Amino acid sequence: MRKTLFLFIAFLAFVPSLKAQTAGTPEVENLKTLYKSLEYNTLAFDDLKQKWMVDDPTFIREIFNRFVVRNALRLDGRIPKVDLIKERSKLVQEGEVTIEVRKRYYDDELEFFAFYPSVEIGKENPQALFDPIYDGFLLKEIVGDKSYEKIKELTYFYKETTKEQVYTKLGYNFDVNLNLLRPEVMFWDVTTEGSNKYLLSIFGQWGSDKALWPGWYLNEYFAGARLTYFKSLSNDPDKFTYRLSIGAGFPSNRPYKDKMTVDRLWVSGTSIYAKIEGYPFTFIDSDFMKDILFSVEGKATPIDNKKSDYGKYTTIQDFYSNRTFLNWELRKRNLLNVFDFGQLEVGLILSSSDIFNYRLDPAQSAVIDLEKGRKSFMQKFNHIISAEVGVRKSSGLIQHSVNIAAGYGTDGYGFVGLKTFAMLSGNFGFDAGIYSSFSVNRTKFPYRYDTYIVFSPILRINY
Amino acid sequence: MKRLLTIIMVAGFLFQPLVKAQEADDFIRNIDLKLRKDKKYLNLNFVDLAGTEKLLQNLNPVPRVDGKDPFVFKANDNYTYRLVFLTNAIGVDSTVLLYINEIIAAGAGDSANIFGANQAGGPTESMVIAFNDMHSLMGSDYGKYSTLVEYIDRLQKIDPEYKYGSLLGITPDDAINTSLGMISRDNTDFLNFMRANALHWYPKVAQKSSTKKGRGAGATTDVASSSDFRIDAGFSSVSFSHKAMDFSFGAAGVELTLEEPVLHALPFGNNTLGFGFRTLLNLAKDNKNPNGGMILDARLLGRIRMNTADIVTNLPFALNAKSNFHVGTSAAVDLHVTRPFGMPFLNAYIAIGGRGYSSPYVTFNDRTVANQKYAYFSFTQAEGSFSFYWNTNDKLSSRFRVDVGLGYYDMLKAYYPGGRTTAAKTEVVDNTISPVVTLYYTFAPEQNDIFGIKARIFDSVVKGEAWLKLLELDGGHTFRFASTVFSDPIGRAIREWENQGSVFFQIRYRYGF
Repeated sequence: MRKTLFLFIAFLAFVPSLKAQTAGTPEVENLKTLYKSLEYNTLAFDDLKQKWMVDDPTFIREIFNRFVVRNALRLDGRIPKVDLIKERSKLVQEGEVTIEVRKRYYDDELEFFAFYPSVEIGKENPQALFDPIYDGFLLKEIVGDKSYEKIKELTYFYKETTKEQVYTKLGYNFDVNLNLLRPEVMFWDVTTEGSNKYLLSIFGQWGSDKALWPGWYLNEYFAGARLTYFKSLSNDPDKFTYRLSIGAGFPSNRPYKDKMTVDRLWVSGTSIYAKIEGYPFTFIDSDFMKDILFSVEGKATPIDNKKSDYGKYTTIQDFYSNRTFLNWELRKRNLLNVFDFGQLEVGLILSSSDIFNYRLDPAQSAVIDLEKGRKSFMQKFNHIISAEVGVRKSSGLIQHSVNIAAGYGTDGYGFVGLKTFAMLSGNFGFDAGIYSSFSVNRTKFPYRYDTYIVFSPILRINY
Repeated sequence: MKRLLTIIMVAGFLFQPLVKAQEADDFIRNIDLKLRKDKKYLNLNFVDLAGTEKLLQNLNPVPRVDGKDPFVFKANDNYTYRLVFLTNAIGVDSTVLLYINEIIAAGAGDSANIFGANQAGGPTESMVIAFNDMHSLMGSDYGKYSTLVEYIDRLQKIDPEYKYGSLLGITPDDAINTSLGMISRDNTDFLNFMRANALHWYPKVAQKSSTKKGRGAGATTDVASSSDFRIDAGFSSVSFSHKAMDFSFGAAGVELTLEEPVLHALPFGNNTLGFGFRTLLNLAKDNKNPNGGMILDARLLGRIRMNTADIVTNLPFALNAKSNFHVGTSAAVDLHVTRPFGMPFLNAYIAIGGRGYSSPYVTFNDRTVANQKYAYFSFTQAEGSFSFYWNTNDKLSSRFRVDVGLGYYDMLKAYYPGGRTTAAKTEVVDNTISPVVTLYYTFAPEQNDIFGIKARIFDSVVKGEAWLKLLELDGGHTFRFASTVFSDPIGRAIREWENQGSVFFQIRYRYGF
C-alpha cells in the first residue's frame, strides 16, 4: 500500500515537470505567442535586417553583469540555478562569449539579443548561453538606457554580419550587353502566347573560338540581327528555346599593335554569317535530353574583294585568308552541381575552316590564288574536333562560366585552352580566353599562333 | 531514505506550479512593458468608446490585480475609453483585448489631475486597465472580458468596411523598396532626362505617379505651369523659347551653338557657328497621360564658317584646346523619337555640308612638298543610336541612360601649293564608321536636378561631360558649372587633325526650366 502511494506521488511529481520542460502550459504558450505577435511582423526581412556580433570582451562582461544584477538570465524560460550561472560566467570571463544583435527593419530598435559561446558561432543551429531576448525594450530595462544606446552605436569591437541582398534577374524590357568579343543589344520584344517571348537584338561576334580564330585573330567582325525565342520566360539567359543569328562579316583591326611575327589573316571578300542554336530534344520527356544544346554556325564569302578594295600596294603581297567555316556543337548542360560552384557541362565540337593563300601583285589586274590547281576546295579545309568541360552558374552575386577546351585538327596540330566568363551581379564582368596550340608546323602554317589570348571587359544593363 | 525521497517528490509536486507561474509572470511583465514603451512597432488596433456608453457602464466595476481598487468607467462625455486589442496575428486565432486607456478631454479633468499631465491643456491619456488586469479578468470574470471582445468583433461583422484605429507608428507603405531598380513604361524617363540635360525646354509635368517596376502601366499626370520664357545660356551654346512659341501639340525654340556633337572637338573647335530652330511635337497625344504618346524632338541647324580657331586657343577656360580642322557651311538635323514601333528611344543626327575648301583658317606646312600647305575638312557627320533608360529605385533620384549606336564622319585633306587659298588637290583621309556608346548619369533627388555626367566612347576617343548645379535663386534662376573633356585616342595613334586631351569649362545660366 505504501509502495503504491509512493509510486503515485512520484508520478504526480515528475510527469507534469517533464511535460512543462518541453511544451509549457497552455497559459505560458498563449502568453508566449501573444508576446511574439505584438509587433508588426517583418518575417520576410529577417535575413536583411542589420545584424552584428559584439566581440568586445570588456563590454560583454559589462552587459552580462547587468543581466546577473537584474536577475534577468533565463534558461528555457526559467531562472537558472546559481551554480549554472557561475559556470557559464567563466566563459564570459575567458572572453569566449559573443553577443549577437539584430535591429528591427523599419526603425532603429533592437529585436534580438543573445549570448553565444564562441564555439557555437558558425554552427547551423548555434545554442545560446541563455535564452535570447526578443524585445529591445526589455533589453533596455535590463541593461539600462546608456548601455542599450551603446550597443546600438557600434563604438566597440564588433563584426558586421548584415546580409547584402543580391538578386540577378533576367529582364525582357531591354538588354545592353557591351562585350567587345560578343556584344548584343536587345531592342524589341513581344509575347504572343502564354508566357513565351520573342526577342530581337543586334549582335556582334569577333572571330570564332571553335575554329581556333578567337576574337581579333580572325581580323573579321560579324554583326547582324538575332531572333531569340523563349517558349517560357526564364531567369537563365541560356534557357531559350531557339536562337537564330544572321549577319555579315566586316574587316576589323586589333586593339593593340603586335610584332607581326605571324602572318595575319586578311579579309578577302564580303562574308555572310549565320548561326542557329537551340534545345531540339525538349519534346522528349527526359530531364537529361532537355538540357542538350545543339548549334551550328557558319560563314561563307560569296563576294570577292576587288583588287582596289585592298588599298594601294607597290610591292607584291602574299597573304592568307579564311573564307569559310562551319562549326557544329553538341553541349550537355546541367549535368550535376559541382560543390555549388556551378553546373557541370560538356561540349563536343566539330569545326571545319578553310585557308586560302593569295597574292596581290601590283602588275596583275586581279588577286591570284597561289594554290589554284594544287589544292581542291575541300583540301583547303582543316577539320578540328574539340571537347569542352566546364561549369556554369547563371544566378547569384557572381555568374560565371569556366571551360577547359582541347582539340586536334586534320592539319596535324592541336590546342588546349581555357575559356572564362564572369559577371558581378549581372552588370560588370569580363570574358577571356587563352589557347595554346601544339605541334604547329610554322613553315606550313605561318598564320597560326603559338598562343591566342583574347579579353574583353563587360558592361551589361538588363531590365 | 524512502522518507527523504517522498519529501523531495512532494515538494517537487507542490512547487511545480510556482515554476510555471514564474514563466507566466515573466511574459505578463514583458508584455506590459512592451505595451507601455513601444510606440512604433505595435501592430495593435483600438476602438474608442465614450464613458457614457451603456456597454461600459454595465461592466462596472472591473476588478484589478496587484492590490488596485476595482475600476469604474466614468459616465461622462468628457471621458473616452480606448480598448486596445490584437487581431490577425500568426498563432492568434481570436481577438485578444490587451488593455484600456482612459482619455480625458482637454480641460475636463477632475481635481485629482489638475496638476497632472494635463497642464498644457491637451487631453490626458492613462492606462487604467493594464494587461495584467485584463489577463486576470479573462480568468476571473470572462463574461465582462468577452462582452468587450464581442463588441469589437461585431463592429466589423456589421460593417465589413469598418476600420479599427491603429497604433502602428511605422509606415511600411512609405518604405517599400525594390532591389533591382525600375524603368518607366511611358516617356517619363526620357522627359526627366531631357529636362535635366537638354539645351532646350521641355513641358513640365507635375507627376503624381507614372512608373512601375518592370512592366506596368503608366499613370495620370498634370501639366505644370512654367515661366513666360526660358533660356539656357553658356559660353558654348544658347537656347531661347517663349510661351508664345508653344502650341497645342508641342513647343518651339531657337538656339545658337559652337559645338559639334560627332567629331572630337571642344566647343569653338570646329570653325563654325550653328544656329537653328527646335520643334517638340507630341505626335500621338495621350490626353490621359501627358507622359505617354509619341514625342518627336527635332532640331534643324544651319552652320556657317567662322574662324573660331583663334578664339579657342586664347580662351582662358579652354585648356590645351586647338582647332585643327574645318566643318564648313552645312545643314544638320537632330531627331529624338520616343519608342517608335515599340522599339527603344531613337536618336538620329546627320550634318551635310558643301565641299568648300577655300581660305582655310587652320593650315599645316607640308613637309614633303616645299611651299605647300594643307588643311583638314569634314563635310559629313552622322550618328544613330538607341537610348535605354533606367533608375536605381522608384524615387527616380539616380537616373541612368545608355546610348548604343553607330557614328560616322569623313575627313578630307586639301592641298594649297604656293600660297594659294583655293585647294589644288583633295583626298579622303578618313571615312570612319565606328560604334558609339554613351553612358549618362543624372542625380536628381526629389526631382531636383543636382548633378549630371556623361561618358561617350567613339572612334577610340572618350569624351566626358559633366555639370553641377551651383546655385538656384528665387524665381527659378539657376547657375551650373559645366565642363567638357576629351581624352587622347586609346589604342591607336593620334591623327593630325585631332586634338590631344583637352578641357573646356563654363558657367551655364538656366531660367524657366
